[in-house]
Amino acid sequence: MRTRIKEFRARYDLTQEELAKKVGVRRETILFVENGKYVPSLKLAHDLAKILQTTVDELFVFDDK
Amino acid sequence: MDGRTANTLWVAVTAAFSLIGFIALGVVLGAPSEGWTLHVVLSSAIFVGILITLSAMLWAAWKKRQDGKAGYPAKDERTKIQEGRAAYYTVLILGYIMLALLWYSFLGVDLLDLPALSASQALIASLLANAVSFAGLRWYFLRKG
Repeated sequence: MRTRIKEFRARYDLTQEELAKKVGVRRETILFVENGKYVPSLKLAHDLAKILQTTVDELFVFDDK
Repeated sequence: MDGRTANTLWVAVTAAFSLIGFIALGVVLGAPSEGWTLHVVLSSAIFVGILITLSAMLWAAWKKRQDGKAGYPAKDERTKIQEGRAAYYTVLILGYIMLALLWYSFLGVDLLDLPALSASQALIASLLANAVSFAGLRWYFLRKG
């Protein structure tokens, strides 16, 4: 799984800390989600997409093999 | 000085004196006068383990407070999942440790003539193993993601 969170964060000039506070999670969680090391719950994915003004499909890219 | 600052200062001073006291006790009791015996080594190791555990607990409490002041939640979905995994494996590890203590008690003492462990020593060893296992596994799983 890849994410485009970093790209969208840069678009809205948000740091990881700011995004974490807006979503209500710890900064490390945003870091791990960005790096694809943690697969967020549906609710967290939805909240991230909402904050970054996009959709879950746009934010998370699954490489089908 | 307001009430909150006074409470914080009181906790910090109490913790500092407790830690210094435990370190001093550990150094005094850990230094053998009659030479290193298994009992002295085990007692020293237990004291060191207690000091490390206490220090880690104080640090964790301080960090939790700092994160709270910065506006971060103490736990989120990721930390809850990883702590759950750490707890699961800690239970397994503790089970094996208690089995080992049981085998030591039945076979080591009777067949191999090893020194018997008192109930308090076995309890302290189990508790320390529990705390250290959980802390270590929690750290590992949270780093891993």
